Amino acid sequence: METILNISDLGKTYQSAGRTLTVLQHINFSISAGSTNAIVGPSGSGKTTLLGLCAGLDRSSAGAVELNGINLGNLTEDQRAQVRNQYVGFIFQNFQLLPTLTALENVMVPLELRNEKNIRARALDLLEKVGLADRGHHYPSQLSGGEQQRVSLARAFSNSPKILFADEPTGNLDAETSEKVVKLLFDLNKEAGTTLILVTHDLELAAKTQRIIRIKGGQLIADEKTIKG
Amino acid sequence: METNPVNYQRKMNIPWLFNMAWRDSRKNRSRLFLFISAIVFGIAALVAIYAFKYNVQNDINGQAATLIGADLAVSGNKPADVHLKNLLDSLGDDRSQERSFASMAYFPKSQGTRLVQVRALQGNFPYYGAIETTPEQAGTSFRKGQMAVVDKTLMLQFNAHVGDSIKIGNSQFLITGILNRAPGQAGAVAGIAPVVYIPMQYLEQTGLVKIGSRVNYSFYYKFTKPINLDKLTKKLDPMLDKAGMRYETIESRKENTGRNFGDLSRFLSLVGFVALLLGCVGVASAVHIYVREKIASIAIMRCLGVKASEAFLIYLIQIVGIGLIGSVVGAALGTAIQHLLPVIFKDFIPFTISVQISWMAIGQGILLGVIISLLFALLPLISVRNVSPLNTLRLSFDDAVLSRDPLRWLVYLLIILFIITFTYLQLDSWLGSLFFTLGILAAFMILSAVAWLLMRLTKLLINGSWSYLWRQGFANLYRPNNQTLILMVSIGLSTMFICILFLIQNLLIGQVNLSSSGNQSNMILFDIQNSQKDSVARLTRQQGLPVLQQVPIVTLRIEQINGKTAADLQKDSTIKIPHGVFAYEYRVTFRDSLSGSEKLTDGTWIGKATPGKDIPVSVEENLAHRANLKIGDKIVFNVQGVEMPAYVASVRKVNWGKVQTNFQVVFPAGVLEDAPQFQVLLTHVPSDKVSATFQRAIVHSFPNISIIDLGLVLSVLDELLSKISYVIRFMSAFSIITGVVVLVASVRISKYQRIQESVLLRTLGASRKQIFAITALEYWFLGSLSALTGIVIAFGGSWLLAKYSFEIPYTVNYLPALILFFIISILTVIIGLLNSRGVLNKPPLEILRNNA
Amino acid sequence: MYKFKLTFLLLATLIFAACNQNKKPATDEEAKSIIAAQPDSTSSKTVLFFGDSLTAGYGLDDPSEAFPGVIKDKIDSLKLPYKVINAGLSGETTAGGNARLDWLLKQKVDVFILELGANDGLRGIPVNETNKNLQSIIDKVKAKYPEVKIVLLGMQVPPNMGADYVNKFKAIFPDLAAKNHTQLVPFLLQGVGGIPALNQADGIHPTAQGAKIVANNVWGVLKGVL
Repeated sequence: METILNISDLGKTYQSAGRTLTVLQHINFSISAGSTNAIVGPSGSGKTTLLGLCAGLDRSSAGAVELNGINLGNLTEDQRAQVRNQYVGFIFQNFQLLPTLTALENVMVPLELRNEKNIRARALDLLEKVGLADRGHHYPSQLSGGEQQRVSLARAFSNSPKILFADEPTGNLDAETSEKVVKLLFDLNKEAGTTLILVTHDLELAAKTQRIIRIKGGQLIADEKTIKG
Repeated sequence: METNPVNYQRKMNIPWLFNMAWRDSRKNRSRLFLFISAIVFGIAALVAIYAFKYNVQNDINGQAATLIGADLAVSGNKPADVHLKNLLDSLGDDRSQERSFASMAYFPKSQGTRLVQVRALQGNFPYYGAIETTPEQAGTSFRKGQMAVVDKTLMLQFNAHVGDSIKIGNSQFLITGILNRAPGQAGAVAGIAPVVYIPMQYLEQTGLVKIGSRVNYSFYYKFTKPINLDKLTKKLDPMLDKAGMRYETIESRKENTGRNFGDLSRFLSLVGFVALLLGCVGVASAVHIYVREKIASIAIMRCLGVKASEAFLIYLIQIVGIGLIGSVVGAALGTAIQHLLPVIFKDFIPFTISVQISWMAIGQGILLGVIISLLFALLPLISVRNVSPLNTLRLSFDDAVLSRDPLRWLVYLLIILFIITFTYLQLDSWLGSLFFTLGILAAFMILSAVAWLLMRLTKLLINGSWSYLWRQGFANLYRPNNQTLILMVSIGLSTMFICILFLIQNLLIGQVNLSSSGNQSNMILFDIQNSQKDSVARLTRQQGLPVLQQVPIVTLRIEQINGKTAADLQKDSTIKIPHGVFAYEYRVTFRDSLSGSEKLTDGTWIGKATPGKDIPVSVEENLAHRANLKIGDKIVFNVQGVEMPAYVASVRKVNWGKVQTNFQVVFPAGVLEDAPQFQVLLTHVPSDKVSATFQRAIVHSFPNISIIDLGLVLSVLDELLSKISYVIRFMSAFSIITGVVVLVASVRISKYQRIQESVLLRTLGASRKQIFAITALEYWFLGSLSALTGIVIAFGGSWLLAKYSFEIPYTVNYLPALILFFIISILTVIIGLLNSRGVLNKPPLEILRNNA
Repeated sequence: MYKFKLTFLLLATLIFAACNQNKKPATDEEAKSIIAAQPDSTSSKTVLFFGDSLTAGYGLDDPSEAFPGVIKDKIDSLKLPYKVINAGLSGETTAGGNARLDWLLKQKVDVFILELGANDGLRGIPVNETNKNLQSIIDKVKAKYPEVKIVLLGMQVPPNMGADYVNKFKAIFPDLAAKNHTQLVPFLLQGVGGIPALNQADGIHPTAQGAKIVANNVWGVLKGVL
């Protein structure tokens, strides 16, 4: 299978109050296109940082991130933004919808950025898929957490990303809603054939993916295939 | 799976950026409205103040024009030769001529004779103002026949009435009106000799203009088409100078009329500057907070692949849009205020303020609103370029995000340049603009420093032993997301402006001395001989008039300074004494104490001379400077043949701003008592009637005494001065009120800053009282500290302004400052409480949802 | 400030006509001698010029250019035993002159040249008032120094004052001269008054050139007295 994401010897350090804080070091793994993966680890293990680096949201201190054959380390922030816009989708723990845009408009933004055609129809289609076709004109603050995350899902898939990053997508949701959202996430993922990278500390959720990468203290401690894998 | 190449060169979709800017603005209209309202108030303040300023300036200029009555006046004491006549006839769009001279007029009915100033007039002069007469039409109709208009005091003096006749030279003129007031001619001549206007076509037959006659020839011009008079007069100057003629324009008259015009225009500049800054405070504080709230959204957009430049532009477009809307509405509101206010207050404003739409003010207001919005939005927005999309993964977007960016300095520079430029539009002087801007910068830095100190101190001081409410209230001052800096600066600056305006206004009003108000002299009696002095004073008091000043005057020359004579001066060019010092005939007085208008700047005042020793004299500052005199320098005076050795015992500063006798040199008592001298007496006559009676009495008993009646001259100036002082008061009152409104608006913006905390506390069960107390404490500290700082800066600022810009003595009244302090502090608390009221009246969740 | 300027204007130019700060100073010893009596010249006789700005040399670069200075030069060049005192005071009226006379009469005067009245005339002071003051001055001088020779300098006011006043004013001087048996220069400014080239810009005060003519007018009478 083709490799969509290749991480080699990745490290990240922060300068804080004159001390060097190592968050990640010597991380190596590669992700096959179309696979579903989970990065798990306890709080503070560095998994969110890892996700940020993989998605090109931040610069690494060492090593390289190769996304769809593009070395992100060589790109400017603006170029990385282009990469994100064209290949990457995001789902956040706290949804991160633009508060001043309606649900529909939130879904439309990535499409609009790419100057695509039929944006509105496609966005409506996506909202339909997440079951929120009738709530398109509501602002995020008027939606429940689950609904917001579903909008966020629709937005994440709107630009037909090659790879989708989800940071604790159910972290702010109750169990029942979580279940619905997770189901939706995996369904959409399957339908689109997108590569999924999930960051979570929820092992049950992680178990739904094909591969689990364990992080602890900034280091990769295990990389295992699940039953599904 | 194929690998698509990344299209890095994606074109910017400009319409989409506008679309996003528009979408982003819809969500919370009430909140947006609050921000826009701050801009609206700032710009409305600016536009209204500017508009008033321009109108008032025009009004005062119009009033000043009546002092001279024409755009250009040329005068000389010789008839113009052919060449000059051609030149004079080519000037202006309307021309008038006047011949004026002193003559003895005769009133046949009362058989009285008196020196008058005859003004023979031809043409439509005055072009500004009027020859004000009773009856009114006489001021123009006298030109049509052998008629005269006669000064009212003169009429009273000779008990003459309209319809009587007056003999000027060989001709009799019918008195057709009483002259109340007339433009043109400096007061001196009019004061010593009352004015009689006659038509010029009857001048010839009076037989008064002959060879040897002393006649003043005046030419008055009106320019209907706009013309650069400055340029014209510069061109004319050498030709006129050669012909021994002088010219005067409205501008030059204003300059010569004294400091009040200058004070007014400086004050209006100050007001303009304050309005500019008020506009800036209103707009900047709104924009600043608004953009800060948008940081989170920007991070999300970045995540989705929006380029930094695109995110930057989206908000820039939005801010410019908001700025534009706010400015246009503000300009409209300001113009409306400008039109409505004079109507509403017409009973309280004793003069008419002309109300014209000032496009200049509106244009500046809108431009300023947009540019200021832009510049102050840039500050947080340039940091947006560095907002890492990673922030979406983290929860807080605190100030650290908006940290150091070198471009920031560029924006600061732009803001400073902008302020200097707009200040220049108000001040018309680059140096002044620079200093004003530096002043504001200093004030800004002081306020920021105080804010920083406050944060530091509270952090250090707060400890667990305090009650929760106090701790919470204080902690709000330094916690993340605090509003200490922004509120300190906006409250502090507004307070400073208000206080400076108030203090300067007080100082300036103190400078305007109206002759009609109180006991200002408006009549001068001179050439009173020593033998007459007591009886003249007695007569004055008998008439119920005050003897405001009665001083002896001795004429003398300077013979030697430190042993050097005028002769030495020619031999030795290193002596730093101008020639004139020796050629001058000095009028000095002697007394044992300083007068109220004098202040020692150096040395000691000695009021009594010691017989046989050098005489200690006091020298006026300017003379000391000109003659290079220092304390202890020896001067030999020549008192009409008698040499008197003296030395400089003190140097005095003299306030020349009043009608009173002031002297370059003052002798102590005990030396000049027997020297040849005469007396000058100053009094105040309350009315023309009293003036006429008094003059009659003086002329009857002391025919040698000359009288200068400044009543007519001063009343013209009085009107102007009272107008100026009202304008100063009105503009400062209006600006102060506007300042308060802008202050309220900028504090009001902080409404959403504390909502999260308050709701959280509310959710945790805090009572209404507790939240009130916490809010009140926070705002009280912010309000009082910034007001205090602002007032302290205002003291310094107004002192600097008084000393260097207005050049007036500085005195300060602490009570109004104290009152201002409490008003501002309490006002801040009230707004703070009003801000949190919304939180208390609604369920927490609803608020959170609406304002997320 | 305007008020100051106003007052200044009034006090300085109209009344006193005294200030001219940019002009050159008196040269050398002359400056002293015309203003003050030389303390060492007790042996000679004294000519006292008692007058107003015309005597004081108002507006001239050097006060010694005024007509008394010109006459002094003449006296010196003729080696006549006279010392000249210039007691001119700008702005002086007959009333003022009358009052300050005692101060000047402290020194012995042999020839008293009376040049006052012009300021009275320009201010429209009643003619009999001027007449009275001049008479008083003459009386005082005569009382103190009975041997004194008095020369009265006649003045006229410009025609714009009105024929009536002009004529009455002009008559003061011959009348007084006749009554007191003094010498008279009929019109001091003969040949100068009303001629722009010989007068300063103000049109009243002679230039240095004008002062020479004035001096000649006076000398014509004075030489017979000395």
